[in-house]
Amino acid sequence: MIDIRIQSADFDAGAQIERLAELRLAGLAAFVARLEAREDVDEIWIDHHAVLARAELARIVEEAGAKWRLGGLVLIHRHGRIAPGGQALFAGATGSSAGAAQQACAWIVDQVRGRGPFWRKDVLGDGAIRWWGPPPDAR
Amino acid sequence: MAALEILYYGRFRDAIGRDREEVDLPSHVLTVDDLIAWLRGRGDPHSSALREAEAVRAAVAGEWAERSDSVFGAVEVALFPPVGVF
Repeated sequence: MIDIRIQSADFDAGAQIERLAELRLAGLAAFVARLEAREDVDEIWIDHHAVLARAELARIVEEAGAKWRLGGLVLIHRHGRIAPGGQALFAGATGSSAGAAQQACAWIVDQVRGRGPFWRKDVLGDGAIRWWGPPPDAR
Repeated sequence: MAALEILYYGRFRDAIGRDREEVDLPSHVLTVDDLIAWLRGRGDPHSSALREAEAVRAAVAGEWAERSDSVFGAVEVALFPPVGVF
């Protein structure tokens, strides 16, 4: 089972783990990334390039499938408005080898972090905007 | 002159003040690098938004593009800063 989603809605990490657990394989690893933010942040927006994001997440999953023998893989990336502390990413992998599931899950998260065409904007309480990552003039 | 749709993502969207625009590309603009240089040459807000040219990433027709890749004949080019949300 491979399920890749890019959605604005929140997800139930427990339910996703349950879906993977139904495959009854020896190893299951799951990871959730939350959007940690300073206290002055009111809301967070995730911008994304939809076409490129779909293609890139599919490529990452395909590459993981070539590296490790997996029975199931779920990858969910959210976009749009997310409350500070909200969930942004779910990655779950299951396989007959616990090590493979663990390594694949960690690898996928790393790849999505570095290659996924998503950008984060923090909107502060006073309306100011702060884009995630080093500003161009800080380099 | 050929019509090209340019899409902006991330901080470029705010810096340029729009998420897309259609431009008539002069014939000497052949690569992603040429396109960035040409846009910067048009003045603000593009020149400020894209001033750190090495920090500009691109996708042509929905696929990652290198700076030396061609935009000739492309219908859509996306420009954005380095990716990442957490």
